Amino acid sequence: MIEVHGKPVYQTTDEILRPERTAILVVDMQNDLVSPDGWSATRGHDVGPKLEILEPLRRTIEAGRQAGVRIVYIVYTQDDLRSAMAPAWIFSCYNGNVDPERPTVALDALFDKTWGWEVVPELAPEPEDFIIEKTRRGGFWATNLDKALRGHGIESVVVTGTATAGCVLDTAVGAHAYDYYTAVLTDGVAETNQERHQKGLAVLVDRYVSVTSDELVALWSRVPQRAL
Amino acid sequence: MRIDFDTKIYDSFEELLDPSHTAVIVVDMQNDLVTPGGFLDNVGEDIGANRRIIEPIRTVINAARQAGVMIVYIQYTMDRGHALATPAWVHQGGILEYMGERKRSYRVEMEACFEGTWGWEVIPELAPEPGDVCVRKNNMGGFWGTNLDKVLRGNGIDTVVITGTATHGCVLDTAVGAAGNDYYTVYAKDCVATNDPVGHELGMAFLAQRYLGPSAEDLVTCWASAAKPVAA
Repeated sequence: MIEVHGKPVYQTTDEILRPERTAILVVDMQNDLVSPDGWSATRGHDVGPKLEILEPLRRTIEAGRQAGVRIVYIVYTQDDLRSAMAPAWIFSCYNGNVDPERPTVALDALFDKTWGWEVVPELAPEPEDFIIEKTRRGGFWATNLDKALRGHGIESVVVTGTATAGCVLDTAVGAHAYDYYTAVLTDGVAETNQERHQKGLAVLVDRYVSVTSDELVALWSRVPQRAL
Repeated sequence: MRIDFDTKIYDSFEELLDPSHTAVIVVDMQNDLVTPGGFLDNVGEDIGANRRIIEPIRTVINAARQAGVMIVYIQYTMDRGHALATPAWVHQGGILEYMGERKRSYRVEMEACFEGTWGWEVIPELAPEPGDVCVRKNNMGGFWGTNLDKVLRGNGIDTVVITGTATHGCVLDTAVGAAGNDYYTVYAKDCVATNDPVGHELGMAFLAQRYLGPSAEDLVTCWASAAKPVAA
């Protein structure tokens, strides 16, 4: 800890990621995006890279839970009326090439409370975890994520999930803008397209604290376990 | 224009950039970051890249003004008492301070762009005119803790064209913020820069895969035709 302009600033990873003031943000690890039977996989998208992060992510979440880290699931949520659609968002889902013949996951999947919308069973939320529904890429847009974190004494977040250069990156940008110490779990973020993944990860690593699942498991195993 | 999910969506370049609903956003083109004798220059950084975008931005702004496109300036703003330097913000400045090869020994976030000073002002080459909007921000993205969304929404803006510095920092975050706030998001590819060449490459790679990136010339051409009176 150092003092800068009269304010205490955490410096080391240990300080920044102390369990009682840290949350893991698990972004969009939902069946439609990750499961071999979900929307993306059944339309030919390679979900392999997302399946590969399940184990590191599971271990990190487990170590976090044991140590008292807050686990927050962020789930992209579509209602039957698509009431949260907006022209620029639809345009952006098509990456600027509006093609009504080409369905996109943000418009045609992840319908509220369906199996495809649920978090994958490998990472199933526990009753005490927070679940935040979102309708855009970043977890902070038009959600109560900031309130939920701030109100529970969270100062730092570890961003994980999918897609690296999409919802993960936008959630990290939002976290930093809302003044959270922001870390990225480098082996806990994934995207189908490896080129996009690499570009997204490069920005994330350049800008935020980088940690691996091994580092976090070791770090959080060292702290006294939560009283039962 | 096409209809998808009962929603009208712009799908041509001209529609997207129609002057009546477009704003040019000029991010952080301030003396401390761009001008010789400003903060970055004084600490020995190469401000060449930031200076090379002045002329393309100027041509974009001129064409925009002619066509009636709204111009919005974003100014990074720090207070002398550093009340605006929050711990997490100071910490990220520290990360950026020790970026491997790109090590630097200053914290531009904390030591420059003090409100009301010459260094904080928009550079004279791109000086705002009466009627332009200036928005102060205290972090990277122009949409957080500012009235930028209100200013745009309240003036019928659907599309923003982002220019300025730094490519992988305030420009990127402002683009993410614009998209998150449901604006059609465009960046002018030869009108964004940073003193950090590695960061520029990272930022451009990201922007290119997410947003439309026309050149200054493309924008000038688009708005020049829009500005011409329609022949009877």
